[in-house]
Amino acid sequence: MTTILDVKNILVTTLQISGRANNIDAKTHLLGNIPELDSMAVAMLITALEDHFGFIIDDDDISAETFETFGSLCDFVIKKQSS
Amino acid sequence: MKPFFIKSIAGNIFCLYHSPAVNVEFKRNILFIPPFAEELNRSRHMINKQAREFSEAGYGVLILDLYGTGDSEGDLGEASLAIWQKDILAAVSWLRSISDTSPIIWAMRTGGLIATDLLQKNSTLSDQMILWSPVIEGKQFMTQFLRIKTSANLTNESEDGKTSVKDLWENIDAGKSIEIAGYNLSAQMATDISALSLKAVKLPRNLSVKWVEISQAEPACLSPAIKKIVDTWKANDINITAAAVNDLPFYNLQEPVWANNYIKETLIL
Repeated sequence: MTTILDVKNILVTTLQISGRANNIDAKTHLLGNIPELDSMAVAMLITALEDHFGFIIDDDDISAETFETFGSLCDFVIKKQSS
Repeated sequence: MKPFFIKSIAGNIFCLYHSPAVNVEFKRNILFIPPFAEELNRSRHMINKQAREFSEAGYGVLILDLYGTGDSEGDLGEASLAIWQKDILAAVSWLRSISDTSPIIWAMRTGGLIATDLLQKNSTLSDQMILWSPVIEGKQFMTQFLRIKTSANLTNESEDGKTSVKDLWENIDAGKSIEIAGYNLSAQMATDISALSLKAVKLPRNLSVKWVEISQAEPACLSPAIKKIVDTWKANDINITAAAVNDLPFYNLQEPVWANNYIKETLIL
């Protein structure tokens, strides 16, 4: 599904972790597991998702759970696209 | 390469002048207007590489640190759009003292908002601009900047408890300044930038503009939002060329990367 590929591309490009892209699947933990994912990177990731998918992400839309795993992040984007 | 200070309204501003190469015909001077906060830090290497390439092609390039940023005097918290625009005018005056013609204004990201707004107010400032991935809406950019602080809630780096972007905007509307990622964002600055928009700006007729964008799409293409602005400007007699290149968005990446296609495209003036 291209949305999942797009989210992975955005994640990997924003965090500059292309060497680890092949190890990322739905169960991969993000927050707390990927050292590059600090608060600055989270802010940049949200902006990159907004810019790419053309939606606006409000504070109310997201929580730490959104960034728990790659799967939870994709689920969030897919849901946002259809809303 | 000549480092020096220019006296401006709020204090001395740091400038770096890349002289044009002596073995080529002198073309024109260029004044660089920088992006905001971390985007500038992430872009220094690219800005200077572009300046060297321009110099080899016969252009002189003046790189300016706006008041309260880089090596200029002052703190970001004391700066404002009005001060920054006076800094630009002071730099233009310096360039006019060494050359008969006005400089090309090369502006990056929020620098694009600041420069186009200044051209709207002062139409004889220049007849040529280069825009590097200009920010379109100042308000959206500021929201993204504020989000750096609220993201700390998600990553448990926050000491302030739960702050939302809405809370931060309320603080700004109340005149309070906010510390974000080590930058002192004043209510004045946040308000000033938020008021700027490329959609609303009225540029002087017959201005020549070269707009360079980074695209992740294959083939590289401009977003619908950018295409719309380009069309509006064309309808208002602006001579605009807009180009998208495939390259990494270096100004958003913590580790420095080179965007050589971007540089190549920028040299086509």
